[in-house]
Amino acid sequence: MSKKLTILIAAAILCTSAVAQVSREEVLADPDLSLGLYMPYPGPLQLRQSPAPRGYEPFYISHLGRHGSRWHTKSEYYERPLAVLDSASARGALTPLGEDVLRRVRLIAEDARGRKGELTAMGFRQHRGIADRMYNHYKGVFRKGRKVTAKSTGVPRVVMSMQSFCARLRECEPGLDMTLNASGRCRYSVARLDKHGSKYWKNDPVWEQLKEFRDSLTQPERLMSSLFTDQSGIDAKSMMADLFEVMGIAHDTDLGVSIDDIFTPEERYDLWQADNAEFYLAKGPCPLGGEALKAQGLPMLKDFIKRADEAIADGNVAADLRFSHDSYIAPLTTTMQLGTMSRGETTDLNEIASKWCDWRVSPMASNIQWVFYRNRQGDVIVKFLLQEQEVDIPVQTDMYPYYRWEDVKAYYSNQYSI
Amino acid sequence: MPIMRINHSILTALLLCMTLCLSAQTSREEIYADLRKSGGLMLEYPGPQSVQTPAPKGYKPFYISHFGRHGSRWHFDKHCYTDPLETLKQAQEQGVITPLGEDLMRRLEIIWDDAKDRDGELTAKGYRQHQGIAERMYETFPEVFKGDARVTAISTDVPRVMVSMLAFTDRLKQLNPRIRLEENVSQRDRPYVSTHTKASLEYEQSDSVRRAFHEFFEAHIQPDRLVHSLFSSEEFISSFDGKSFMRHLYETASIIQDTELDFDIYDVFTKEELFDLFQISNYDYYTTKGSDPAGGRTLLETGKSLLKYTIDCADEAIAGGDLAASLRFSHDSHLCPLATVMQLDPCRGIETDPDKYYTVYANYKVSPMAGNLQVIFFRNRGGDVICKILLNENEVGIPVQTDMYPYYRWSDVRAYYMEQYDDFKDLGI
Repeated sequence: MSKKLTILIAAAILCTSAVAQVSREEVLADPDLSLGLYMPYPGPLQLRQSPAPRGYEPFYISHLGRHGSRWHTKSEYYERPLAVLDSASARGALTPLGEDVLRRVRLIAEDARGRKGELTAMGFRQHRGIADRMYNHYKGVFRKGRKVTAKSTGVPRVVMSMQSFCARLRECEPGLDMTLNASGRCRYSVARLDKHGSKYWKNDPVWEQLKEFRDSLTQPERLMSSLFTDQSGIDAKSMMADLFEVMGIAHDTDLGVSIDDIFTPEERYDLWQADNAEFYLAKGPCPLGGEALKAQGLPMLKDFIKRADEAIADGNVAADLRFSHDSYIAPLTTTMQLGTMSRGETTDLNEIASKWCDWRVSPMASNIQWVFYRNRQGDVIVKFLLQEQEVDIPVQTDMYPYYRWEDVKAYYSNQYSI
Repeated sequence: MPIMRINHSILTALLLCMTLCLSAQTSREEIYADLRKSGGLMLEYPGPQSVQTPAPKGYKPFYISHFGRHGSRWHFDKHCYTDPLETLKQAQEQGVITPLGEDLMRRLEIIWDDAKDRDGELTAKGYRQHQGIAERMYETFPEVFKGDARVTAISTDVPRVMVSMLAFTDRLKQLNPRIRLEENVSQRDRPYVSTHTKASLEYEQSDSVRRAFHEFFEAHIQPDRLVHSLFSSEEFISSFDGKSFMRHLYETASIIQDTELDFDIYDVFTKEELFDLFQISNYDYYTTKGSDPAGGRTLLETGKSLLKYTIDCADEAIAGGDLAASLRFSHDSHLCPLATVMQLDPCRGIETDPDKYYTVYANYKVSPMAGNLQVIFFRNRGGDVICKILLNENEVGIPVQTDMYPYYRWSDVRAYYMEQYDDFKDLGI
């Protein structure tokens, strides 16, 4: 299935996400929906924004974005399966398909060498695109002389995501009063979690269950015999997992080499289910983690609220832009209870995939935006975007997707005793 | 351009004089006159000190090769702040602190409050330094950046360096939003932003080099007067390492200029002490990243991969591509070797007496915060290419013949380096 179609389907699913969940059938029909955290940015998921209530103008945007598409963060993700294929080839243990896969994996590995964890050209484009649309949807926000503060973690792919984003804003309005930073003090805004639930992460029996779950979903026999004529000395399960990693990340470059074809849609769905469950248990609204898991994103939420209040008071602040990682975005969606999905609770590992999707929460370049509007009387309303799509939070409103800022603040301060 | 009509011998004499002025020896008095210079590598960027010599008639700038150090930063070793502060606090608790000691302690607390959680990071001043350099580059050589000029920028993966690059390129984009910026931080570019010859590392860490440095260090750090001015008990004074205390305090004294703080702590030192402390770090750089003859070719060639990139990119730009500028962002420990391998006038002095190293080499002249080296390329209608070299935005000479200083025929410069470093190909890059 073409990339474009995948994006359309992802968009269609996300657009109706308030009610529908992604089904096994949908994923099987388009296996790219099981790319998980390696899914290239599927946005914008909504091209036309809902008009603001009469008399309201946008004046401030608070944003948190994940770095864009990247190469794997560890070279062994490429080199380990390549070495297995290489040595099998040397002893004549590869099928013709196996030889062809070796050739392709080598191309993918060579492309990645010396680029561990770095932003790909596709990743640069994703951020440029998001910035471009942010500017064009909310032009009134980015007027000459208004202040933009961009912060990132100190990781190069994140810094470069910020660079690409801000360079586009600069092109759109050279007169912005913009500063970019990646200091240690930035981490208070871009990369901080509340770690009170540490017992859950260490001791809960669910982590043992997850291992078994993953093990039962990893069925390498068909794949391995399609690639190898002699599997002696090869750990089939770990080889399958390694190839799955290569397959996924190959979508994030412009190399144009794929090994999608070596997996069946069912295999991809199963392997993704295990990854998805792991991310859900660690960062999603899993009830096993209790309130501590749900409150992980609280430091980030507080930063959004504090800076919004400052921006409202100041009047000349256009945007706070934060660049970070999936491991901070997902907890914030959970803590914000952003969209139906981030309120999807289950303790059944088999059920997680139908409640919560990692790639909806945090594909490459995923982002959360709070867009603030004000009217002449100074009333402030806000809407929330996930992957540039309007989503809800569990707060009463009579003008969805817009919420009264005071109601939003009251809700969160009540929920988390802020 | 009357200068073009002057005959060659007069011109040569003139050039010699200019070259001497530029590589003028550093003196004690120079540092006494501006104590911030005693900070050596921590000197805040002084900015251009002279006006640019107009290019010979008919020549227009078309390409710039740049290599810059990150701007002003906080110390990456927090002990520079916390150790002296801790010692002062203990003395206060024990009632053995002098009024000057208490006053110093209060100032160190303010400094630490500013520096806390910011180990090694770019300060606001560092950010502005890069904006300023970019702006002057743009305004001095506007022809280079016109239209949709293509600019590449690479850096090491250290946040203060990446943010320096962002500050620089964001300002360029602000001045001309159409600039096509290709900015990246990649392990693949590492050989072009950092020096890493095995030979130079081995030399730097060799016993003889380390031992000699240690001796020089011991001889030039005399904390007696200082500690007696701060503490009132001999017993207390003998309870901590005075040399380490003094060294850390000097580091803190030197870095204040790089922040927004508007006071200093130079009053607790004598200017002779500061000069001696400057000599220590300057000794280190001359002997491991400068032209110390003891280091021979090893030392001279440390920056070779960096120079190779300069030449390769210039070749590309001259060949008629659309490359307008190649920007690199890095550290003092790489800028200095690049200046050395290029044999810039201020970086090729030969001196064998360690107590006189400072007369031929001053690290703050090569690599203050945001220190930078720029090669500006000019072309005439006939396609002749000339260049000039700027060190911290001041024109400098290199040991290549020219009749139009500070401009050199690029073919002469290129040939000189290729001949000097004929084993460029051994770099494997």
